[in-house]
Amino acid sequence: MLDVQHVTQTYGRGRKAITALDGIDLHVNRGEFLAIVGPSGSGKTSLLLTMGGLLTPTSGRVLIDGASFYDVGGPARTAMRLKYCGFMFQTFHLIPYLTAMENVQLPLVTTGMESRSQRELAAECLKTVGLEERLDQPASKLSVGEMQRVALARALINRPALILADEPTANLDEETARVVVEYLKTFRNEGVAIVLVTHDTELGNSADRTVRLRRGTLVANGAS
Amino acid sequence: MRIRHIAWKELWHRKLGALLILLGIVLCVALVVAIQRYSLASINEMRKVTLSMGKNLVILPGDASLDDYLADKFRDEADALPESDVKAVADYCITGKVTARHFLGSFQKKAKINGEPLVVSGIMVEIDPAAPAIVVKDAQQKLATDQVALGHHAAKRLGAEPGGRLDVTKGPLAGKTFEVQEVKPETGTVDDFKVFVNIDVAREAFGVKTKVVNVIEAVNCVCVGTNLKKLSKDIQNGLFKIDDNTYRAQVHHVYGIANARYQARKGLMGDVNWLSAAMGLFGVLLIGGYSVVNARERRREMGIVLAIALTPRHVAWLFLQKMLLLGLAGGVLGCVAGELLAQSLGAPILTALHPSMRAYVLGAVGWEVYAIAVGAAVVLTAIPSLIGVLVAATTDPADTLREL
Repeated sequence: MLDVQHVTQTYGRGRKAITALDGIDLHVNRGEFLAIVGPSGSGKTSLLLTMGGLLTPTSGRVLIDGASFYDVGGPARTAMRLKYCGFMFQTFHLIPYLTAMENVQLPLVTTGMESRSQRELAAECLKTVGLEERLDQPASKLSVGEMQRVALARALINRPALILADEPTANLDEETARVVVEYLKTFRNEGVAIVLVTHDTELGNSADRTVRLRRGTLVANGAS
Repeated sequence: MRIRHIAWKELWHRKLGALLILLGIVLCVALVVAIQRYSLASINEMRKVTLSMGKNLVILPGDASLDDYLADKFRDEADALPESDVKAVADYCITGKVTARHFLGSFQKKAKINGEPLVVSGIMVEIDPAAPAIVVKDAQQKLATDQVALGHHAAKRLGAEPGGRLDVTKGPLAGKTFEVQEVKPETGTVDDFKVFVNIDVAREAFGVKTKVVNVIEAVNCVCVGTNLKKLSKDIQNGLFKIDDNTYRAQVHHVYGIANARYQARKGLMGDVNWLSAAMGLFGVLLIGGYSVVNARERRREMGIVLAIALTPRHVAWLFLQKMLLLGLAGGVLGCVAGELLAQSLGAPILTALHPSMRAYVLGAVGWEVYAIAVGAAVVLTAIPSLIGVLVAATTDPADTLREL
């Protein structure tokens, strides 16, 4: 469902140019759990953002269900992103002044869905991640584990075909990290493709397939 | 959830910043509203003073000059104007050429009343140019033959009081007793020395047999700012021209006084407009600065929402909505504060800055001023905040997310 074709990402120009991604080719199937493992500065986040339609590659293409992310304009790309992708980040990126429920509702704001339906759907997603008791809690008052689960619920609410997770367990304790990974696996089993980037080899091993990234180049591509 | 909900929550989250900017808007609007209200009050005051002068358009018979009139040198019966000219002037003015409220015909003469040098002014009822067939029902100007109204100094000299009686023992009115209907407030003009009586009484006292007047005044003329010179000529040519060089009457205007008032008002309005513009500029800079700071402060947030939920257009609307809300609230609160300021401090400011002005009449609630102030607050909040809106809407989510 996701095709990354000869993607190169270069920051800066001339002598100061840094190549973050160098001719990446990658395919992710529907319902597949892919881990991209690599050390800091290897280009993991750049690759994830490029796959999610957030970072225009210097060259190459990213296709999602056959449609090219970067051959369309900004608004259309945003629409594609909202339709296909859900995001999880290392620092959760919740809006601190919104409640757990409101944070989860965010991707629905521009869909035209009625507020009541939005709330029902958000409550359902939060229930899925075990936070039905914390719906109206401001994000700033949640524990880090709860924050990541809210971020997970937010990534799920628009029922994406693909979840892109950037070091989702880096700030979590072992037990909470295990729970989050279990959730990801559950969604994988429901047909959602998961792409997880991490520097943690052990975490990478919990995926169906692991690819290793070093200095912007894929060095290994195979099943875990 | 809608975008306005996010805007509202953000306002609450950053209460202090929002409150400070709101206070800034309120302060600007309040000062502008107070200044405008104060300025309108000053104009009211000037109008009131102009009105209290009684007239600035005077019609005198034959070739009488304004100097004659000001020196109380009135023409006698032979040179006077027929009473019908008063109505003719009012009829002429119904075409809208004159903004005088009423026209008053009178027959006036200097005389010693009980030994005091005063002016006897026999007055007709006033005629309203808007409806010249109808005489004005103003008690002051409907003196019965046994009633008298006295100018401020005339009353003092004659020892008369309102509601009392005036026995005239000397002068042309000798042997008559009048009820003092009114003592007029001091105006600083010759009217302070007048003894107002019914015109028939005055004409009889001076032995005038015909129905004539020797002065027609535009009472409460508020022609400030209009071209009085041209207006005077229009009336003179339209009604009193005999041939190219001869006129039955002279139409004079007390231009100097009206013009001085007009110039004072113009100067005041200039000051007021400068102050308002300065306040507006201060507000614009304040809001522009705040919106940019706010957009930068929320860069992380914007990066996130741009990545997961909103388009740049939505982000722009999110910011703009918040600023419009602040502008609206600031505008409304500023109007209230401005009105209170004008009510409480207007009079001391007026008398301190313009000692020549004697009365501070705020007038009716300035809905027009409020509407303009609120509208301007919203627009002037929206325009500078566009810089912040632009900063927010052009945030690159990838840049933000890579930094975090």
